Amino acid sequence: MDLSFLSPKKLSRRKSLSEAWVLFVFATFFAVIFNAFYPYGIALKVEAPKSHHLQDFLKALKPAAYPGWKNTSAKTASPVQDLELDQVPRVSLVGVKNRFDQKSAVFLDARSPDEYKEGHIPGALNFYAEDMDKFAPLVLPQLTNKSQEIITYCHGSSCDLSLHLAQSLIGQGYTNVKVFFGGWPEWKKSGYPIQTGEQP
Amino acid sequence: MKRSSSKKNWLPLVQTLLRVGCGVVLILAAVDKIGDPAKFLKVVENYHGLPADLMPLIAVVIPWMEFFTGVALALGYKRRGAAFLFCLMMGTYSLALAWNLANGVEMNCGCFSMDSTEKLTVWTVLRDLGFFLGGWIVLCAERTYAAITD
Repeated sequence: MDLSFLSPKKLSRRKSLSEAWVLFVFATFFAVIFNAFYPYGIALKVEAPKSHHLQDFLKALKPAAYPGWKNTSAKTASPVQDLELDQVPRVSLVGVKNRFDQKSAVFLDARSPDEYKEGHIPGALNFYAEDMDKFAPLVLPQLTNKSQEIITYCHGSSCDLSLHLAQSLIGQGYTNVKVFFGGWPEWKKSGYPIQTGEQP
Repeated sequence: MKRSSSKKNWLPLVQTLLRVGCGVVLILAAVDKIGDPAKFLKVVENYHGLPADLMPLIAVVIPWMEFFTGVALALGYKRRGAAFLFCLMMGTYSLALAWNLANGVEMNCGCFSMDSTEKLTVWTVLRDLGFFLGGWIVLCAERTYAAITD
């Protein structure tokens, strides 16, 4: 069987690279310039929100009052990268909806109680990640199965609360914790069921 | 001899169809992403392993890269370079999807429509590998028809 048509010629290889480079540079410049003038363009520089910045948050953590809850404040002195945040698995909206329909996961809302009352995923427990000392005794007794799948969420990609809550739970020995990165804004926008008030 | 002549006739035609097809696929994939970079940024964030600082830039550049590569392929302009970029993108997408699939991360592919509820499966990976093969055949073609600069 003649498969010579799958083998690039030497001249073609050089030409391919030079042409690809021209296209790459042109597309990159065009994209950046277009983004600067496009009304829906995005900021190219990543700036963490001051109020929810993980490093500030870790510094503000106090020792845990709840027995058995080893607060991650012990890691305050460690560099943030030690937390290996990118190793926390993430779940998309589709994955969250599947788990919601099948009731196969516990949802933890890492936002403040006021925000939780305004609306949350039905069945989600409020575990405000900026006040773990208060919420750990309320929520952890309900999470007795450490292999139970747990999904944390907060305000979406602009907030670190869900990520840090997930990391803290993993630190406590919970083995199946994931983050819904789109969070509440994505869930609400999709038109899926919502629950208001203090009740999960 | 007869066989070789027959091959000469159909091969450039197939390569031309593949070139235009790959171009159209890429343009269709780019349009939705170009319109809403913030939404595409969320899709990008769902993929593991990318440096956080580069994510916005990637979310802005990739759609336009797809668009211009698609236009170049469809029109036959800088065909080899466009096919090379096409293969590079499809190869990268295949690896990223396969990695997420292997790690049990459920996510929107974000390949064509960001609103799509298409679940990431082995078929998604195989589809991208199929596109990669198509692009590779275009890359290796000696000539294609209906091209501006072949």
